[in-house]
Amino acid sequence: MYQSEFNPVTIEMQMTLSEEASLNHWAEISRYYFNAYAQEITKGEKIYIGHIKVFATVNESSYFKLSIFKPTIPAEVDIQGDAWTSKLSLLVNSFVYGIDEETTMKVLESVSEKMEKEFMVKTKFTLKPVHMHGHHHHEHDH
Amino acid sequence: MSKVFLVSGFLGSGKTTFIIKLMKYLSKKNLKVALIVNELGEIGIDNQFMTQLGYNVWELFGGCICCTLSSNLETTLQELEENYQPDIILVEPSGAAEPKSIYDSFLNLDIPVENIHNFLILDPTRIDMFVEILTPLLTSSLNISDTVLINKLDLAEESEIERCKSVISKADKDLTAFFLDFHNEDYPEKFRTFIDRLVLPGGE
Repeated sequence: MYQSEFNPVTIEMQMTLSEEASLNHWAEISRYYFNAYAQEITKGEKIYIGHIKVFATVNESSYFKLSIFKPTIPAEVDIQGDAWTSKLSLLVNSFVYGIDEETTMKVLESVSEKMEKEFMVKTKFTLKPVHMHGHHHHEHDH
Repeated sequence: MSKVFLVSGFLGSGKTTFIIKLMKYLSKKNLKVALIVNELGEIGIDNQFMTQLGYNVWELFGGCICCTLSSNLETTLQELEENYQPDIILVEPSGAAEPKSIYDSFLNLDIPVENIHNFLILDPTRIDMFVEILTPLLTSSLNISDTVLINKLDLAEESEIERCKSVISKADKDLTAFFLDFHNEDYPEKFRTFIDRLVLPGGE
């Protein structure tokens, strides 16, 4: 298999706004965030996106899945439901050839800083290293 | 005995999108469908998404069904056959899996070859990357497939689609190829007829 080349990095993320926003608005923010992430993380030679997948949930009937497979093609988002919330939970699986966990976290930090300035959205994310359940989790706040 | 459809394709090729649409189509035909999903990463996203959409999903997690979880795949297939008796079992491996090993698991279970159908989803927008860094996977995937589905037609350049055709033509076997847009509401008639022949009694 080709897992070693496209090492999965899994991140649990929370985004917070000062007021409640619709799921559509959250999807737009997330689209902007992960488009920026995809472009930033592929800056360099021989770096390829396998798949960046995001699943965001508000409740059982309101959620969206976001998918990016190439930095030049904007994220595709499949939205179900129309809940409003001020806090969104996201699960991110990032498969990028030529990128390690440390670089992934640095890029997320950088994008989160920009997002806070532009959209007033605060982001908190936790890396979940594969095969290391319960150990060595890195937490970041922005 | 159930028919088994292996839906392989590289990460982000559109396997999940294809499967969701195929499950809707098969449900309308009153066929009983089971889905086995194997996803890499610490937490499965496709499994959660499909479960939220209301589908019955058997998730194999904590490794890859082409190697570390191959015995789990065989056990799950056996259990499905014994306890659920679906008309069709769809198997969605991780996009980083080696499909030949999964096909071998089917054969280990004595599933008749005529009951196994292998779809390969090919993403033309990244054909250059596949050829550059994933040629062994691409070759192996083509060699065990009988049907290639080329999607993302709205996003691909004409030259990328032509390169896909060229890659398919170099495979060691005759392959049926369809050019599909998975986001279209309905399948083209040619593909609908093809699927009906595979799944309906007396269709082959």
